[in-house]
Amino acid sequence: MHVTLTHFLVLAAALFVLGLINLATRRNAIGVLLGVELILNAANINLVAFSRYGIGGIEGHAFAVMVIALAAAETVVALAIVLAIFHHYRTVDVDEVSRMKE
Amino acid sequence: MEGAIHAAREVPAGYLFLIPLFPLVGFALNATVGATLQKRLGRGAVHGIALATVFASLAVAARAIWEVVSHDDAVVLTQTLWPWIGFQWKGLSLSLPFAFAVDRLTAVMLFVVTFVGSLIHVFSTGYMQDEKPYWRFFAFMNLFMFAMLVLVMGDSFLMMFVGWEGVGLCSYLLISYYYEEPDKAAAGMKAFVVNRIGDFAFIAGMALLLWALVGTWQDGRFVADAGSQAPTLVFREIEARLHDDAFREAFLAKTAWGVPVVTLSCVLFFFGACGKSAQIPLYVWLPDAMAGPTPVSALIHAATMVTAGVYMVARLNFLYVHSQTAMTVVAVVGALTALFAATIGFFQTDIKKVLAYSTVSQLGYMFVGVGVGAFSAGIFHLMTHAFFKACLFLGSGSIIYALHHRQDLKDMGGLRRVLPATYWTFLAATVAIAGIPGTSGFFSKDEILWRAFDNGQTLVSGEVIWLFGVVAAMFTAFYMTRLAALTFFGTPRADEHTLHHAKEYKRMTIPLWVLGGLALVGGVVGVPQALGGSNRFEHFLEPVFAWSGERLVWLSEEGGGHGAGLHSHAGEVVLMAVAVGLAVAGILAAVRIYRTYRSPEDEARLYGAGIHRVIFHKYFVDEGYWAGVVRPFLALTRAAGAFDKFVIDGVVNLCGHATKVTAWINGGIDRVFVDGTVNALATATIEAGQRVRRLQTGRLQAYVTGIIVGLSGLAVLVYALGRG
Repeated sequence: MHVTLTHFLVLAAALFVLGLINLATRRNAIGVLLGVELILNAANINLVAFSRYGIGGIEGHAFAVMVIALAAAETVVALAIVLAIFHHYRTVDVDEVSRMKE
Repeated sequence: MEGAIHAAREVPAGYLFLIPLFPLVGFALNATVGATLQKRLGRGAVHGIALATVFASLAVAARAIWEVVSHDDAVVLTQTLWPWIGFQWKGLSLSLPFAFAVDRLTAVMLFVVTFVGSLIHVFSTGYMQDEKPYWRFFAFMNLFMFAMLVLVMGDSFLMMFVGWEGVGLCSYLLISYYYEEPDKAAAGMKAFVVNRIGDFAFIAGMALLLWALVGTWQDGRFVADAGSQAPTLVFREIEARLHDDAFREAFLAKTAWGVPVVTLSCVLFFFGACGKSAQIPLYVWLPDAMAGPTPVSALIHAATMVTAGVYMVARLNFLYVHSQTAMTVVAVVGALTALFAATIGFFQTDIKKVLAYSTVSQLGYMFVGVGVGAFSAGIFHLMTHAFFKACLFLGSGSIIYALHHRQDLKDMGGLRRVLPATYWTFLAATVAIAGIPGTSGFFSKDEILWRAFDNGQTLVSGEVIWLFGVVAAMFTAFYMTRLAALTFFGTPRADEHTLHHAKEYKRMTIPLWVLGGLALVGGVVGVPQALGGSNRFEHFLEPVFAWSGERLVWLSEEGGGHGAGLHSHAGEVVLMAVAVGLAVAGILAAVRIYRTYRSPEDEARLYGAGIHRVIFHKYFVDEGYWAGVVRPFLALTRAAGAFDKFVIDGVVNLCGHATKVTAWINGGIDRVFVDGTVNALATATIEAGQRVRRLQTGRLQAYVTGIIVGLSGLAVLVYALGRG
């Protein structure tokens, strides 16, 4: 079977939706972060796929590497926040941590 | 009348302003730096300034008098300093300059004021030498000289009024010189208040005259005369207008409240004079004014200020002669006062009080003189009285000083040897006031009495006025002899120590000698023709009074005058003899009775307790005024105060409460409606916020769901629109 751009796009869409669901439904803050990673990587797949099958060149790959770096940085900050929340609330359940409404 | 009398020739004299200016400068210096000078340089610097300015004023006055005397025709020295008052009303414009005028009448007054004033200043340097606020005394004395000179030199009613008020103020200030003593401060206040009553009449008369000269009142509204001249208050101008027959007829026909305006204004002016010159009914302040230092009594309350009323009536001779009623009022009040005050002088125990009532009585004589049309005789008596009464007061001052400010007759007696200069001069003045032939008082008093007897224009017959005057003359001789006897004769009643230390200072005796000498011989200028003289004094003043004299003769002939018609020298001599006989009888009676000291108790026994009681208490006039005038007045002020407190304040407070209530209602409206709207808006916002707030769950996933739903919706929308 010949693998086309469409396959990649479908894969990326599936991954994006899974990440979104994960983001919206998981109670655990770490799980939420995992959802974010899934979404970012779905975007990465799209970037690389469009680079390979579309316009050519390395811009797409370069962007993907950028996003990976960004994701790493984001995860560092997010995990620090989660740690701080855990210290404060003794939990990582995002439903428990609802003081943002004030 | 064929217009034989012309208006006096005016001669400009640029130095007149110096006469009042010098004392004013003296006042300014002593009032500002006097206290410092007294502390640093001693009293000499203070009275140096005062005396220098007064004598400078005397010197300039002498020049003015000389200029008036040296002209054969009647001249008026004038000086206009600056335009003073100007206002317009209903097309009438009044403009008055600040101007001085010296005619022959003023020249006499200038002489009296500056000459006697200077002597009294000299005397004061001795009498006041122990006083602490020495500078204050001399400052006020100089201010008084200034005001008095403005009064006599003023060219118009208003100028005269400025001086008139000025001397009133100085009188008040100097009576209350010892203001730490409440009764003396009260005496000053009394003088001031009583004078204000007279001054009100003066102002009313002035206003009445001012408008009557140029218009009339019809139905309560002022209507200017057709073709009238500008209104004026200058004496000479008013007189000049009255010379015009047509104007005079129109003016004399004017009435106010049914009374001829000329009568009304003259009576009002005379009431003003009653205040200043201490006549019935306003004489009560003068005896109390003796609370001031004795030189003040001599200068202000004997020689000068109190004669201002006489001067005013003489100055207004051209008005008075047109009102028989006013002339009669002046003469009758003068005669009554002369007699009334003379009787009070009988039993007074305070040496100065005797002299005060004597002054009131003598002023009455002067008013008799001017009231019967003998203006020059009145002024003559004014001058001679200034000599002998100033001498008597200074003599009493010398006694009081020697006795350490004791002035009750019970502490005196036998002072003849201790105070010889005072004794001789006092005696000279006493014979002068008693009217012993040859003295100044004799000539002036008999001139008045004779003219009163002979006059044909007063509504009361001249003989009655004469009778009052001649009886008063006898009483005067009596009480003055009593005073001299109780003071200088008999055994001394003062203690040894006082008598031993009593002495007379040169500064005090020189004025006494001068005044005493003038009291004796000052009458030579007015020896009547009946006694072989030529009455030069009367001739000197003739130009001032000639026109009114002619009018008077004409009026009394027209009115069928009822004068005695004794136009003979023999008649005059007979009247003189009667007056002298009565005076001598008075003197002899007093000498007999007061050969020994008589205390008030002795006198009560001698004359009858009832009479003595009434006279000793001055006919209870002060008490009567207190009960009849002062008390009701105070009650009125209290009532006014209560009215103010309850009614006026009530209205004010009511207004305040009404404002408060309005404000409260206003506030309520504000609270309910305005605040309500604002609050409702705010509440609605809060409510809306509370509701919208529920959206903010704080749950992360809810937000994410929102984002997803929103983005999805957006995507669908974009897709649908893209399709469309």
